[in-house]
Amino acid sequence: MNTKINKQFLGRIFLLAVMNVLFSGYLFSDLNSFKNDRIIHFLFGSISVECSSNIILVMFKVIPIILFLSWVVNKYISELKDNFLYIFLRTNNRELCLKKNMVKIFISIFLYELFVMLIMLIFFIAPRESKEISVINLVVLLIINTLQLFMLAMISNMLVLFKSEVVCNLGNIILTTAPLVIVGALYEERKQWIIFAKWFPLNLGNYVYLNSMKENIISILLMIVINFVLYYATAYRLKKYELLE
Amino acid sequence: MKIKVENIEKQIKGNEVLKNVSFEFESGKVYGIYGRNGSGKTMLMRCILGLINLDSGKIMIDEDEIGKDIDFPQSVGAMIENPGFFPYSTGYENLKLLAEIKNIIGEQEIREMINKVGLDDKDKRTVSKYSLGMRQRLAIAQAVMEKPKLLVLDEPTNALDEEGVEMFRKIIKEEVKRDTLIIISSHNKEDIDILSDVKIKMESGKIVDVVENDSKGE
Repeated sequence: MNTKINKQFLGRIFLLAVMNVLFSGYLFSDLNSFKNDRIIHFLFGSISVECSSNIILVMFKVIPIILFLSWVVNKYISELKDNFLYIFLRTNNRELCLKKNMVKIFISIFLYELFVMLIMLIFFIAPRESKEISVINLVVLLIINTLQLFMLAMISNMLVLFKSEVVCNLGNIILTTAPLVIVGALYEERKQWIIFAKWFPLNLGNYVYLNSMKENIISILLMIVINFVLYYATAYRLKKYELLE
Repeated sequence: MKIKVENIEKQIKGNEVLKNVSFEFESGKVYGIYGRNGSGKTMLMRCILGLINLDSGKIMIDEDEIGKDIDFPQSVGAMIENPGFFPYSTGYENLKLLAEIKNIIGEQEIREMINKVGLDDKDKRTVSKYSLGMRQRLAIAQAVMEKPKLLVLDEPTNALDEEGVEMFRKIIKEEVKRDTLIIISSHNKEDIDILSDVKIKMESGKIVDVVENDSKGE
């Protein structure tokens, strides 16, 4: 299997990136009062801890992600699943199939996040009087977002491969909204525990970004480890998977 | 190539689908497996292909054990039940995508193969618009196009018209000349009688009869 992404999927990725920025832009209509770093956080990072207690804002933030998982990530794995027989027997190696699919997914995710970043910079930062931004923070955020979405994609893949698309879609909704909702609930009810929110693996970056670089690096390393664990868990499960249909 | 099936057993949801099955297959012959629905024909084929895990026993492809030394046979073309293809690609695009995995054949061979099975290599329709017979022809093409050493074909003439069946029989005869090991299953006894060198009857997960086919059609 090649790892090229066809034009149709590239178009979808771009469209979903535009949708992401539009939704985020709608959420925070009073952006003029924000500094550049704050705008980047909201449009490219995630919603704030305070906003997590508002379910409408949470849904606006997660809908583009759920759609990306459903329209792009799951389509790759569904195609693999439908053609398991023909593809497996040609690679002679189940793990190789998975590896190539994962590379394609990773590239798609990176492109998606890159598009979101560029659209945000062009339409929200460039027109401003002050265009000062921290490039290092931007790169760190790009890496964090990519790794986080890749984590979601891996879990999504496992659900499609070994369960069904319906279970997968339900899983995606829970996995994307639950961490944010929990953060919101903690903020409302147990503020003293909110400090733990930044270590939720799927918190969509809503606490980590503006903190120290040290915490960002720990977060990145943690996500890399989790992604490897997810990959090897999927590979192990795939090796034992029986093609009965 | 030699395939040695040794005392294999498989249970699915409490049902014994294969019971102590043993057999040896060798290159240059066509093995026709026949029997009623649920007799274990497809399960045996899936085991040989490495698609399911055995409860006991082993399958050796030459010196390699399936599931231990190798995941799947190294050079195989297969058709098992419903053909799965990328629905929004044309027939040619589908075969091209599959051919790119091993990269041993080019555009010319793919197009020749599509035409050989009676399809149009320039057909712009996507596979989602194909009839079942057309998909079956495309499935035969994908199984044979890379000239594998082993062909495993489950009910290959399903949904084929008379012309399609003739085309398939012609392809099998050509493959035998290449010394390919061919295993086909069919509920159509005529296919088994015409094509097979060895006829294997299965019943309730067991091989119950093996006959050298002296009356094989030429």
